[in-house]
Amino acid sequence: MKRSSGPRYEGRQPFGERLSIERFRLENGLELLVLPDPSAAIVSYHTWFRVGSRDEEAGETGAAHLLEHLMFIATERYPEGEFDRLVERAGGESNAATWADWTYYYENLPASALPLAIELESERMHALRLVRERVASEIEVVLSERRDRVEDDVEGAATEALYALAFGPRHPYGWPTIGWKRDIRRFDAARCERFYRRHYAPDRASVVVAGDVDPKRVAARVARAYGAIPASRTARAPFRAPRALRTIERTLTLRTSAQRLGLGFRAPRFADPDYAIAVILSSVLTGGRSARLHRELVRDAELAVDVRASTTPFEHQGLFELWVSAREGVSMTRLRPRVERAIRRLQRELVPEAELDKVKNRLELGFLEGIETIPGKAEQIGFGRLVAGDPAHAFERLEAYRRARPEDLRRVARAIFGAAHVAIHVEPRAEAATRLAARSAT
Amino acid sequence: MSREERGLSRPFRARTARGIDLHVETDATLPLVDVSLLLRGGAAQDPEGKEGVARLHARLLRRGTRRFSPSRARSLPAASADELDEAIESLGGTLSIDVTPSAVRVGGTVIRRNLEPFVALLASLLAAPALRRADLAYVKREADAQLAALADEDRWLASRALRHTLFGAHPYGRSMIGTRASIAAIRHADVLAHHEALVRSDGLVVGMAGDVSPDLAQALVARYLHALPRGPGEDRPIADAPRLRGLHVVLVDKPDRAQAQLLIGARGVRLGEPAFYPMVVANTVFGGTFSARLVKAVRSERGYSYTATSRLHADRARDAWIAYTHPSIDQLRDCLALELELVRDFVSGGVRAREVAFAKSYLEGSHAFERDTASKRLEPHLEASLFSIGERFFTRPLEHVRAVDAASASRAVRRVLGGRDGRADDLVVAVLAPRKLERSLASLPGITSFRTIPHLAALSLGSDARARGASLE
Repeated sequence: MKRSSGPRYEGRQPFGERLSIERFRLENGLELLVLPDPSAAIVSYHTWFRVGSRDEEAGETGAAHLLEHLMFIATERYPEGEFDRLVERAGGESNAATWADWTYYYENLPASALPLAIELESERMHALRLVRERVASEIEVVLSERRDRVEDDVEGAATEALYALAFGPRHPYGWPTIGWKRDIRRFDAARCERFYRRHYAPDRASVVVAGDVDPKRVAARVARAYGAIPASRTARAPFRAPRALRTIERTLTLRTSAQRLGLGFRAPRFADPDYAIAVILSSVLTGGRSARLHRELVRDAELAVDVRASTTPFEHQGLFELWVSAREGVSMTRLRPRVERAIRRLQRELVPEAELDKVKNRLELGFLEGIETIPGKAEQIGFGRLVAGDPAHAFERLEAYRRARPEDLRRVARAIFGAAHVAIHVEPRAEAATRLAARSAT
Repeated sequence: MSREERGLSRPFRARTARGIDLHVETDATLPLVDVSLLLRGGAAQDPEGKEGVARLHARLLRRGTRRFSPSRARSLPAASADELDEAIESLGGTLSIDVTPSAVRVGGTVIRRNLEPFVALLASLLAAPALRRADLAYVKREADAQLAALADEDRWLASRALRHTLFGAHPYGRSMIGTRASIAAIRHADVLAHHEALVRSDGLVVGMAGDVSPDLAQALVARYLHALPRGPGEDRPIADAPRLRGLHVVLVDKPDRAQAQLLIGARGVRLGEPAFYPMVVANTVFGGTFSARLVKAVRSERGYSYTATSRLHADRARDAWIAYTHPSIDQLRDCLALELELVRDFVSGGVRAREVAFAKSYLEGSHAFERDTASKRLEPHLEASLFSIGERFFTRPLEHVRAVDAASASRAVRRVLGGRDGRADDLVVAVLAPRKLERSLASLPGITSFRTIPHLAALSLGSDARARGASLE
């Protein structure tokens, strides 16, 4: 590896009223975002890579997630298990997450252990060691994770089915980030190595350091550790637009005690100004006990045990999801008309100002709680940078909530709910058996 | 040495004229305040056969209030459940009422500008709840529905079976949510009696953390919480459950599973006892980090289970130590045999000096993350006040951790998990898996008792004192 020059300072950006992000970039393209925050003697070190399950090919689903697991095992300088041992001996914790658009790794450490995080992360960015036997055992771990989160989990199984229906099972937003089981089984060390070499490079990453640190010292140390790692030779593949959403409804028969319904509508991309409005709409419907659908279905009519809505924070258009879990013995035929009525009301009527203010307060509380800790701030910075292009995007989002008017909600409700939708009905296996028996008897 | 150890981080503390123990940790970094009202006496006080009273009471508190007049100058009108929910959320607040065996915590977080109405609202829930008979019927139906939904929660079902087998009729073995039968048996008078015994100003522990000064906190407590009835709440002590002798296996039969839920448990330690911190260190060695023995053997080397962890549940009597994994159905027997071997080795071989040094290093370093927000800094002080165990036990954990060595940790493991002859045989294994695995599991050596229950029957465990399927010491 060749030596390189020091970090280039790219300026300061406010992160709220009291804090600022210092931005640097290395010659090899690595971006460094430092948030000095002396509120506790800790540091949170995040590495966000511009690679996720959307960068996989059909037939190799789960590659990004499996590689995330393998990144903790061994590198050229650190033998198996050493990564976790070093972090934990320093009193730290380390973990990672993968989704469609990104993969990120973090270490939360006492501030004095920052050099360790820089050393470990720079090492595994370019010198991962993939041993055949450990790849095989980690595939078993991922299969276990999949059993836990999808195959034996009603909600996980239904969500996987909803996305496959909405985007198609061969589109990256339609296949699960954890991967299809048959694909996970097919991986070996060589295929994982190829994925790693193609996607892990300094110009595909943003490092976020938040905590009790001196930005200049951090930048100098990061430059020494990462400066010689070569940039990637391949650009990220362009996103393949999914097929247009068509109205499709499917039934999933599972061992469960009650019916569920999942509805999916095409939603704005995360960076779209209307994304904030979609979040507000989900909160009007199901955000808290006084939200419209919770109040009507869970509390007053006693027909459901749970309702929830959310908008996928994808870089490209995701889904507005709405889930209803019926009480045992309650048919979805009694619930669905009420759900549809609540949706139509959003399309037709203006949300009263008082109700909108309540939702804004609730979202402001959620925002503040999200940045209460140093790791929380680091996560907001990394996520904002990767998905919206702005490390301080969380504050822009808060302003967007504050600006929202009833007319905005109605306009976006019309756009989202006025188009096609997909639906997953979850039917308890016992009910399905009864239904089939009745049909065969007639 | 941390800030708190140097005495630099002591929250404000005061006992009010009405016997309320107030703790305040001021931190104006964000315009947020966490408020906690801690009442002594939780689900452990539920009468036998009426498990679920404390939890139903908690749900009932949110169903409405009467007019609340804490002083002549201040008054809150009566509020319906709908109005209460609207009010909390309009303030930019969250409210939760959590029931544990030993306490009830009413609390939440609110945006600073709405602190006063939020505290007033919390006080009205406790001082002037409607507690209507019709609402009790409502929350009973709600509890039944939630119980039915728990049939989908495999880990919860296995955990219920483990606790029931391990603790029997002891409060830690009974179901806090209740069972269909126990919920049906609860009468309006039971809930009123529970409220009467629980909600008193003397001994109430109040915590406020965040953008709030001690002066303001004191003023709010005096303004709103002094309206609570005087006198100490009724809180009976919890005795330790008798130790279960032998290796007992309970299989919760649930068909069509791709994986098993596997829990291994034993009676653990109580808060304040000398073995507590040695067990904290020993548990870190066994299953508390990614480098721990359980994780290495079960996950890293064999890929049996994504999750592999062990935990000490802590309360004022000896609660449980539980190890948890979820191997595939095909690997269940091998995984269980391996884990039993790991536990036996843990007991007979103890922990090594280098493992203890590693665990202590981890616990010391990570302590900063236990104190990185105002509410986290306040929490040990609230616990000390609630449990009356001695402040240093909670507020100076590192002093205790540093004093642990391999000998004391090994001794604690032998005492807590070891059987009569020092071997790890006093264990309960709860497995959720299809019944077809019964024979394979029952053939494991050293099992004292084995029983199988349908998974829906696990929802009914915890209100029948005679149902414990094992011999007691």
